[in-house]
This record gives sequence, structure tokens and C-alpha cells, in this order.
Amino acid sequence: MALERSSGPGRGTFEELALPLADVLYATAVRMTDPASAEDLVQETMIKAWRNFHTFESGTNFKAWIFRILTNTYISSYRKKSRAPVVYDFSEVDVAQPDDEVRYLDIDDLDSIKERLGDDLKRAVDRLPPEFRLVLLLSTLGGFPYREIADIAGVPIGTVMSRLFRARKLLRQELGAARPEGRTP
Amino acid sequence: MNCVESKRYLDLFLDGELDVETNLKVLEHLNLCPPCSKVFEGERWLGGEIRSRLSEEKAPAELVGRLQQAIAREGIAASSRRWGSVASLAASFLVAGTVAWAVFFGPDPGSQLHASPVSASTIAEAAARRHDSLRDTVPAEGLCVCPGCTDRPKEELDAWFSKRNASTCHHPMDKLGYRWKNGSMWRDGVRGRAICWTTQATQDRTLVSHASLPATAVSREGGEKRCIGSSEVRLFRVGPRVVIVGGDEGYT
Repeated sequence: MALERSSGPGRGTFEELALPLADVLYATAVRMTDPASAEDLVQETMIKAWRNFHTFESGTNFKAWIFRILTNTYISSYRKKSRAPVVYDFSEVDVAQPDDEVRYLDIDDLDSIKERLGDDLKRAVDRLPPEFRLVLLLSTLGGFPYREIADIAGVPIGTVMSRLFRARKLLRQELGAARPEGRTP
Repeated sequence: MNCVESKRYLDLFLDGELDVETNLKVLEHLNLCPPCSKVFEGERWLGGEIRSRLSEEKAPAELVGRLQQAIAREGIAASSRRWGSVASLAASFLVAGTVAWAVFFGPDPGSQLHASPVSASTIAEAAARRHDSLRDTVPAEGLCVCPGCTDRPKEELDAWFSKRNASTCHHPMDKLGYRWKNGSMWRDGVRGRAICWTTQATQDRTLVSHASLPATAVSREGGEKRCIGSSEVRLFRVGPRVVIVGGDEGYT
């Protein structure tokens, strides 16, 4: 007797799609929680994705789909183990506000800034409130457009934009503040 | 567009989220305004720097290994437990990981005929034991009959196996859409009878074994009754393995 080849999704297809994303999933997870929990988060995400692979519509964005699982898993299980404690609440910022008062990085200074940044960057990202940090990670590491970040994080697109811009503003302030006194911008 | 306006669009511009018209206006301004151009350059650089620093954190090597194991260990996804159709049956035993499937053809003229039927559960147990001994790997010793190695798989299998056993059998693997990998033939014993055992990887790299037993009859007892098209097979669970025992003797 002959069996027809399965038209359903198989483990190999899943692994081909999912395993190359292990690094970026981990890089995201490890900014949201401690390294050990980050590994657990990635593992839990992968298992859930595999279990639900039959619901994934072939041809749609797998990366966005699995990042949604990561985000939901983080929110439901790992938020209490967030990397930095939430110290303050924030309100949505009007995107249209001008940022004249913010000092931008001086590109003429790039070499010395780069040298000095070191771990400041990671620390500055970790100090962001988790909701801001997540959106920043989805944009920077995930490379997702706002619309997809909104789907993944389950928030309106306006919220994505305001959180993202505020996150960057905070980062600029952090990194700008780390500069030694007397440096001309 | 002035400097204040252009800086307002900084994030949207760098994220590629501006509409074409506004994007052009920003570019025009940057062309004409060195200070704003510097700011945009600096921010673009910073964004890239953040990305590369954060991307330095790679998933630990053991984690990827554990992920693969965890995926392999996971049972059949609930929705693939649809036994009504041939395709789903294939999906379920593929997804199960390592599965042994015993296929029984009719009596082989070249073989020694045995009068008493072999019980399906005996075959299932033997199949599972075989896979345990293989430890889920394809045996190193064997004959590769993948299209890259031969264009006469049937003949080569015949020749290879006939040296080891008087009876030969063939599996219509091409119809199953499997990717060949070290198809191997084994002589084994189930209550003294030779089994033709082929192990290969499927297209999604799940290990599947097929065993053929020249026999006059297989007792259709034990296990769970399933249907593949119009054929009836028996499904056995032996430990973590799923074994499907069937035949082509015209089950109703």
C-alpha cells in the first residue's frame, strides 16, 4: 500500500524556519530577563511555536508569528523576572513634540564615542521601562515595521510609535549624559 | 521643511515609515542643511550600533541543541491526529519522531512460506526494538539508494539483499515522496523469519523504518484500528514509538 506524502507541516520545515531565529530570539529575550530565564523563554517559545505550527499560515511572516509567541510568553510568565525593575510609569508622548532640547550624538566624535560606549549601550537599553524596551527591541533586533510591532505587542500603532520614540529619546539622554563634562556637542 | 520639522520626522525617516512625499521633503532638507544631516547621520549610526551590540548576544550552543531535542520530544500536535485521511496519517507518524512502520506484502515466491500467522503486536515490538537498537540513527552499514547514488534502486536493492537473504522485497518509496537517505536492508528475525528492513529519512528528516515480512498472514489483532484510505491498519504504541502494521492482502 502506498501512502501519500503529507501535505501538513513537518518538523523539518519548522526547524528550517525556527532554528535560524534562535539567536535573534535569544538576543531579545536576554534584554528582557536574566540569561537563564532568557534561555527558558526561548525554549518555551519554540515549543509553543512547534505545538501550534499547524495554525501557522504558510507564506505569512513566520518571524513575526514566532515573535508574537515570545512576547505573549514573556508577558504571561516572565514579566515578573524583568531585567530592570519598573521604577516609574510613563504616559504616551505626543509624537509631534520637537526635540530641540535633546543633544544628539556628534558624528565627528564617533570613534571616541564608540570606544566609550562599551557596555553603556546595553545598560542604557536595560534601564528602559520594559514596555519601551520591548518595542525598541522589536524594531532594532527584529527589524519589524511599526504595523507588525503593533501586532506582535498587541498595542495600537500609535502606541508603538510613541513608545519607540520615547525609548530613543531616553537612550539619547542616557548616552548624552554619560559624556564627560566640557565636551562640545 | 525647516529643521524643527525635519527632526520631528527623524525616527520615522530612519525606520523607513514615511510616505514617499514626506520622505523626499526630508531628504531635500538634509541635502540643504548640514547640521540636520549630521544629526541624522549620528542617529543612524547609533541605531546601527545598538543593533550590532545587542546582536552580539548569541543563543548558547547548548540551547540550540536542547531546542532540537525538545521539539523532537514533543508529541503529535493535536490537530494532526486526524486518522481519516492518508495525508494526515502520514503527518502524524512523521511528526511523532521516529516511527517504525511495518509493511507486509503477500507471499514471496522466493521465500519460505510459513503456515502460522505472525501477530501484529509481535511485529510492532520487534520494530520498536529495532529502532531502539538503532538509537534513532540510520545504520551506517547499508546501501544508499537515493536518486543521487543510483538510478536503479530496485535492482540494487535486489542484488544487495539477495546476498543476505533469499527473499527480497521492495518498497514503493518514491510514491511516498520520501527523500532517500542511506536506505538499508537488514536481515532480522521475528520469530525466526527474515525481515527486510529499510530505514530512511523523510523529506522533513524524520526517521522512518519500513519492514517487510514475507508471510502468509498477519493476525489483525491488538493495537488500535486505523484506516489508510480503504485499507485497515493497526497502530501500536511501544514506548515513545508509533508503529503501524498493515498489509496489502485486501483488508476490508
